[in-house]
Amino acid sequence: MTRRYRVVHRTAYTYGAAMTDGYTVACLVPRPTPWQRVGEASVRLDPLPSEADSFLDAFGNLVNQFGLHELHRAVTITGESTVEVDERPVPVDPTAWEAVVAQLDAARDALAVDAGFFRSPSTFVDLADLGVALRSIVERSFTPGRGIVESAAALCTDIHESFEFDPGFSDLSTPLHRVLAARRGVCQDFAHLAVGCLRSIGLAARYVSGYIETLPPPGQPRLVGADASHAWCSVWTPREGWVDFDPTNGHLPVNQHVTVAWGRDYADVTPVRGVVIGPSTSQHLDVSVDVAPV
Amino acid sequence: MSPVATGSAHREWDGWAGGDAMSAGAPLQPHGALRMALLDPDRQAERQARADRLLEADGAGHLVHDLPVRSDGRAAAIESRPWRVDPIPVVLDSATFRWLSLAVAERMEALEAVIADLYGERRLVRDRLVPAEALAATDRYRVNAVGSRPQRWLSTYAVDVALRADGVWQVVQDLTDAPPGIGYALLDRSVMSRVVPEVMAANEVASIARYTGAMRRALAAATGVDSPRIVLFSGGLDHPSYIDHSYLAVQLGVHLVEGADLVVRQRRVWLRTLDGLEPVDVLYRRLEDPTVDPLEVAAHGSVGVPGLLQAVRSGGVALANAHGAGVIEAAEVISYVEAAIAHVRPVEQSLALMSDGRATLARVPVAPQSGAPDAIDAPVVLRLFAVNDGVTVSVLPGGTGRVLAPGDDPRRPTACVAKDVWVLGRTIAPTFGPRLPQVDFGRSLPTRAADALYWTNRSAERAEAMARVGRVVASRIEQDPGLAALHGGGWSRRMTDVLHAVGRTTDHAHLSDHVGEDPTDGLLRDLAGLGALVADEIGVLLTEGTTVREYLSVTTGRVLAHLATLRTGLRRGEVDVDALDAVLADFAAFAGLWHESIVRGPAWRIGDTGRRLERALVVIDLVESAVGGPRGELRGDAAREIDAAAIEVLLAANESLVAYRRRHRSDVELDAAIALLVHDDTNPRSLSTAIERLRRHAEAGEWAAGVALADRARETLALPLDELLPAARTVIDEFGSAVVARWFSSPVSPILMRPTEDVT
Repeated sequence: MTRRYRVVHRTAYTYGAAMTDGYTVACLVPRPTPWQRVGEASVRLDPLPSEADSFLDAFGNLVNQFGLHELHRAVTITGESTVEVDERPVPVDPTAWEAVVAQLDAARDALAVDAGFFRSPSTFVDLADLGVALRSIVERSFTPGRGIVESAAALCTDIHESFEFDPGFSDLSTPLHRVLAARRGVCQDFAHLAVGCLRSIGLAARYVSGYIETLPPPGQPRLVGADASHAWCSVWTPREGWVDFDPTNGHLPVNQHVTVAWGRDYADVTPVRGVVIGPSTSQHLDVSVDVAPV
Repeated sequence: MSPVATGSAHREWDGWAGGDAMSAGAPLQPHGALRMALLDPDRQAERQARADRLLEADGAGHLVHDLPVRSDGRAAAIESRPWRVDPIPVVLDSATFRWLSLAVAERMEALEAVIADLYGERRLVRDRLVPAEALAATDRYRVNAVGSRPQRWLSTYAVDVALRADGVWQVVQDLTDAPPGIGYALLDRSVMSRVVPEVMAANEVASIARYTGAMRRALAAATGVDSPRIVLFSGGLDHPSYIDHSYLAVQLGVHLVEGADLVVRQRRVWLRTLDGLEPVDVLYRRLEDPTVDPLEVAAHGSVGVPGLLQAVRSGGVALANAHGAGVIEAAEVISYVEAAIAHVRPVEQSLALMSDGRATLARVPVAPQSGAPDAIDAPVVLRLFAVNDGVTVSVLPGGTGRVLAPGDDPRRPTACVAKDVWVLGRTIAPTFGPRLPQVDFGRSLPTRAADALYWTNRSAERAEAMARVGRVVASRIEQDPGLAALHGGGWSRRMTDVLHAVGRTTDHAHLSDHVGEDPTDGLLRDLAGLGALVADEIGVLLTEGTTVREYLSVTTGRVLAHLATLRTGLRRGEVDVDALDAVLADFAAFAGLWHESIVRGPAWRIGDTGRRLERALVVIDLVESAVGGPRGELRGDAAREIDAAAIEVLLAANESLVAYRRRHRSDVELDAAIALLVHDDTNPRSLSTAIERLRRHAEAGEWAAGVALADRARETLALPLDELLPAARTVIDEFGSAVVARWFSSPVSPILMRPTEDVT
C-alpha cells in the first residue's frame, strides 16, 4: 500500500544578542527514490534570506544554502514536503555475506565508486579504535555463510534488543564508544553503530536520514509537532542493491519511512547547520517535526 | 648548537675541503674555484653571522616567534620555529637542474591529471587504482568538489626531492594543497645574495627574480576572468607559515588577506576595504583545504570564509590551488599515487616516490656554525617549486634545501637549518611572459590592515612618549643623583606621578602605589616598570606591524626587528639612558620612515589618525600630571622648584623643551609651557595640531561624523585649562571609538550554529 505524508520540519534558533550575519545549510528535502515520490517541497527561512542557493551534493542529496545579512536575533528554517511512499517488498538475497565482502573487495566500475565509498571510517564512525568492539557485536548476527539480508536483519534486531533507546542520553556529539559502553542512545547513535558494525567486517553501509511516521497510543489523538527526524542504515547487497534497515525500531522499513538523504554518516547529511557572525552569546534551539498522513 | 671557532673543527673542515671524502663528480656539491670560495674556512663564521642578522632583520629568524598579545587581547600563537640559513648553498649544475626541472614539470602535469580524474570521471577509482575506500577515509578528499571543473587544479606545486647516496633522485613528498615555502625560498636567496655577493656574481648563479612574474601569470590563469584581481589568502598571524605568506605577498605585490577581510555575497567573494566591498577573482589559497569554509562538511575551525565554496561552485571566484587538490597529500592516498600517475601518464616517469624513508641520502657540506647537528656534512632534502599558467610549467631555478638531523624523517626535518639552492649556468632560458594587465585594488585598503596600521601607530606614539619621559627622568637622576632625595623626596614623588600619567597605569600592573616606601626607591622601581610598559607597547607594535608588513617599507621591517631585540632588554629591566636612547632612535626611524616612505593614501591616513589621536591623549595625560599633581606638604620655593622640574619633564617629553627655550630664553613657566603644548598651532606636537590633523584626515576620508567630533575637540581648547583637559579627553576618546566603529567594525570569528538535536 502506498502512503502519503506531509512533513513539516521546523528548526528555530534564538540568540542571546543580535547577529550581524548568518549562513545556513539545510539538507531537508526528501530525495526521489524508486519507492518514493516527492511532490511539493520547500525550505524556507524566516526572516527572509538575503540570498538563497541550492545544489546537489556528491551523494545526490539536495542542499539548500541561505545567507541572512541583516541583524537578527532569531532564525527559523522550515522544510515542508509532500511525499508518497510505496510499500517495499521484503528484500531477498541469500548471498553469503563473506561473498559480498569478496565482491566488494574486487569491485570495479560503478560498484567500486558507489559502494567503495561507504566501507571506510568516517567522522562519526571510528573503526580504528572500535573495530574489535564492533566486530564482537556484528559476529553474533553475521555467522559464517549466513545470507546478507538475513544477517543484516538479525543485526538490526540485536541492536534493538541489546541497546536501550534513551532520548536523554545523546546529544549529537556522542562518540560511538560512549554508546557502546552505556548500551544506550538515540536513532543517530544506533544508525552509526550499525554502519560501524557492517563496515568493520568489510561491508558497504550508508547512513540514511529521514523521518518516520509515529502512531499515537491507541485511543489518543496525534500530537502535531511531536515527531522527530529519524536515522537508519542501509547495506549493499548484490541482488537487491541497497537494503534499508532500522536498528532503532528493529525492523526493515516498509512504507512508514520518509527518506531525505544519505551519506557516510551524520556529518554528510546534517539537517541544519551553519555559522553566525556576531557577539559570542547563548544559542537556544527549538526543533519540531510533524509527519502527518494525508 | 655550539659555535665552533678554532682547533679541531678547523682540521675537520680542511679535511673535506681537500675533496677526497667526496667524489669530485658528486651532484649537489660545488666544485673548483666555487668550492674554494664557498667553503673558505676563514669566512664561515662571519658569513653565518651575517646570514643570521639579515634573516632576523627580515623578521624570519626570531621576531615572530616572540610575539606577545595583540591589541584585541588575543595571544598570537606561533607554531613555527626559528631557522637559520646555512651560508653554503646546495649547488646544482645546469644539466642536473634541467633534468630535475623536466621531471618536476612532468610530475606536476601528471598530478593535475590524477586530481582531475579523482573529482571527475573517476576512472582511477573504477579501475581500483585509487580505491574509493581510501578517498572516503580522508577529509583531504573533498566530497563537495566531486564534479567540479576548475580552470586548473594545480596552479602551484612544490615537491621535496632527495638524492640517494647511490645517485638516484627520488620524491620525498608532493605538496599540492597549499604548497608552502616559496616565500622562504625567495627570502633565503635575498639573504644569500648579500652574504656572498661576490661568489654569486662570479659564478653565474641563475636568477630566481623572474619567478614571481610566472607565479602572477599562473594565478591569473586560474580563472577565465580577464585582468583578474588576486589576493593571497592567509590564515593570519596564527598560521605556522605566516612569514612565508607575508614575504611572498610583498614580492608578488598582492594584498595579504585573512578570512575576516573577505565576505561572500551573491556568489562572489569581496574584500572589505575602507571604501567598501571590492570583488576578488582569484584567491591564492595558503590555507589548507578543510579550513577554507566553516560551512563545509567536516570543516576545521573557523578561520575561513563562510559561503566561500558556494561562490567557488558558482564560478564567482577561483581558488589556486583548486579546492580538493590536497587529496594527493593524504596519508590514506599517498601509497596509490605512483600507480595513478602511471595509469594517467603511461610513460616512464623520471622521478618516483621514495619507497623507503630510511634510504641513505647523499651528503652535502654544511657550515660548522649553522648549528646543523653534523658539523661537516649532512643529508639534505630539496624543495622545488613550479607553477602552471596553462601554457607552460615554470620551475623555479632554485629552491630551499633543508638539512636533516640524524634519524630525521625526510618529510619533517627537525634541524631547522635551511640552505639556498643554486643552479649554475646560463642554460636556463629567461622567460619573458606577456605583461600582466595591472589591475589592482588601487588605493583600497582592507579594513583589517587599516585596523592594524591604526594600532601600530597608536602603540608607537604611546611607547615613544613613555620612553621619552623615562629617558628624561633617568638622565636627570644620572646627572644629579641628589635630585631623588630633593625636598624630602618631593621630586621623586612628582616624577613618579609623571611616569604614572604617561604609563596610563590604570590599565597596567607594572606600576603600583607603594605607600610608605622610600620615594627614591619607588621612583627607580617605577622607572623599571615603565620600561616593561614600553616593552608591552612595542609588543603590540610588532604584532600589529607584522600583519601589515606589505604596507611598511623594507627598512621599516629592519627597524621593527631591531626594536624586538631592544624589547628583550627592557623586559629584563635594563632601563637606563642608553637603552632608552636606543629605543627612541628606533621610534624616530619608524616615524620618519612612516612619513617619508608611505604614499599619502588611505593606509597613511588611517595610520596617522592613530598617531595623532594617541599624541593628543599623551599631551592631555602629561599636562594633567603637571598641573594637577598633588604637592604634598611642600610650599613656597620648594613647591615652585618641583613644579618647574615637572614642567621641564613635560616639555622634554614632548620634544618641545628646545622650542620653548628658543622662544622664551627663560626658566620654564607653566602658562607659557601650556600655551606651547596645548594651543600652539605651529608646534607639531601640540594638542591643537593633533586635533587639526584628525580633522583633516576625517575630511579626506569623507567622514562627516569624524569632522564634527574634531570640531568639538577644537572647541574645548577655548575652555579654561581645568575644564579643557577632561573635556578634550572625552571628545578624543569618543573620536577613537568612532574610528573603530566606522572603519573597522570588523566581523568577529564565525560561530558554529548548534547542530540540530533530533531524536527518535
